[in-house]
Amino acid sequence: MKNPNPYPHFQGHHLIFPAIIKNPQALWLMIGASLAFCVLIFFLLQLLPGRSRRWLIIGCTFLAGCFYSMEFFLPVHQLEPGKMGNFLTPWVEPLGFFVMSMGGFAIGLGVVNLAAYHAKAIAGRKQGWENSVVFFLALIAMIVIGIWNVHVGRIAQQIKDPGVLKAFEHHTKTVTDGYELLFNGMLQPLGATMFSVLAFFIVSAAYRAFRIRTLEAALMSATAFLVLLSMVPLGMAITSSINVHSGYAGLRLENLGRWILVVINMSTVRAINFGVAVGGLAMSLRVWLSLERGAYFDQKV
Amino acid sequence: MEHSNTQTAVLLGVLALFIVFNVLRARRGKELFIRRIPGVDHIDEAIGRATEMGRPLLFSSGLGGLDIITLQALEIMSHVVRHAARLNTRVLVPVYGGDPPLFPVVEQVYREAYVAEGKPEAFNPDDVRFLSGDQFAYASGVMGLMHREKVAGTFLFGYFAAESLLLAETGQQVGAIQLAGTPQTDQIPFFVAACDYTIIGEEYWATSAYISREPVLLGSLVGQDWSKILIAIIILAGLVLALFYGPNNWFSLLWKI
Repeated sequence: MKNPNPYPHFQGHHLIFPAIIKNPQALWLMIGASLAFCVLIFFLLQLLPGRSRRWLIIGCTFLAGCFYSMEFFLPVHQLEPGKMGNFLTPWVEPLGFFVMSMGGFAIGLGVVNLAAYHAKAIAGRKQGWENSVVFFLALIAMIVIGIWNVHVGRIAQQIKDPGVLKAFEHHTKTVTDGYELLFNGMLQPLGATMFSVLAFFIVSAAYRAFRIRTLEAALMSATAFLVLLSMVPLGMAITSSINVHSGYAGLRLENLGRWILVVINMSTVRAINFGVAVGGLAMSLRVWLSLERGAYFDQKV
Repeated sequence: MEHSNTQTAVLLGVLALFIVFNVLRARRGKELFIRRIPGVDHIDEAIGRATEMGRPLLFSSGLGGLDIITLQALEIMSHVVRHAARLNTRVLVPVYGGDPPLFPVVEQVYREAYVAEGKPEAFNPDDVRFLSGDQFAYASGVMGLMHREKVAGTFLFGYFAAESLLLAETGQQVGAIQLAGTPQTDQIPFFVAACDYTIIGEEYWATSAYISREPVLLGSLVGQDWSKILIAIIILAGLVLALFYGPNNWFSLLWKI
């Protein structure tokens, strides 16, 4: 029987694509319209004089920000069971994919930059050029084995027969083992090693920071000591003689430490966060309304 | 909160109005005051120190992608690079690869800083280096860079996670003067412990206004202050009403999400 939908992998993706996209033709139309829009903007940017170009960029920026603002502020209703939204909500995810796809065009730039730097180091026999050779070996190994592993995985997903699947996995064991070695055997432990170095760095930073030279430093050290002690069994044992149900239960070290963290510390952190949030709102507004001044905005030199 | 309710929309509208109003007021020529931010004052000192020692500087914009935190970091970076270019001091900028479009933007900002100082030929593309999209690979790359180049000053501005202390402590080890700034409260203690000067919380957003003294940015700062005063009034009103009428009074329920 002919499959009524020539694109079976689009089935069930109605949450991803807007409700109006019930057929692939509309999807291709959307892609074509997006491309046409981008090409139009590109040529307008080349052809328009400086002042008009600026207004075009301001207009595009404003429209792009308008979408997300309106989606957040417009009243919502139930779109489907368990999902609230307005008429713009179904477009949020596809637009996110569109932005990610645009960003994907830049994905090779960093690798090119890195490869160029290390190639120059090898060619010029700079100090440490051997490490650049290791970089290229690791890069090529990870690219080849990584892509091969994904390809092997996709083929394995399509094999339904358990016997065939087992034979296929046996034949592709080298690739999967190689990926396991590179990723779980090398990359993950290296990351964990860097993370564990933090423990020693915390000790050295604390040793320098908690030198008691002023009253404020003494207060900070004493508070830090109290909080640390409240989190270990030794600290709890020190004040264990105070009855948990008595009026002095607040003086138990674990309660004292929690009070310092939850009452004093949290309120201060929230106060800082209010300022940060308002600052973020201000910067977002300035970028959206093209009022920002600075390095890559309309700086008056 | 995925969508706004009426109270949030009204509050956000008022806050936005404060900011835009003060921006327009500043553009019309109103003189606005900004208090001293000690950390920012020492940016020029750090650059001067590196120039005297003949060693480069390092600027890290953290793990952020192309978002407002990183955009703010890049504005500070532009100021640092321009000043360093004036004094013929190199600034190394390792770039995190989590967001692909970030690298070309950073490179462009760096290049334009040299062009703005009239020294386009001094721009060295090797100084803006893509490192990795992995957090600890990036951290180890920056640490190695600090040790190999023996940087005299480090600037850590942006979004940082666990690697913040790794970078700051390495800067201490090489004897660099360190300035850090992040809007994240959970990384501030590490920067305060390991760096010479730390810019915390909203001072991060004020840095570009402080450096450039642009009327628009100063006006925005005043608008932020008005917004914070309004938020404080709302909190105090809720506190007083909760004291007298209990936590379920009409005012507290009004702001319930």
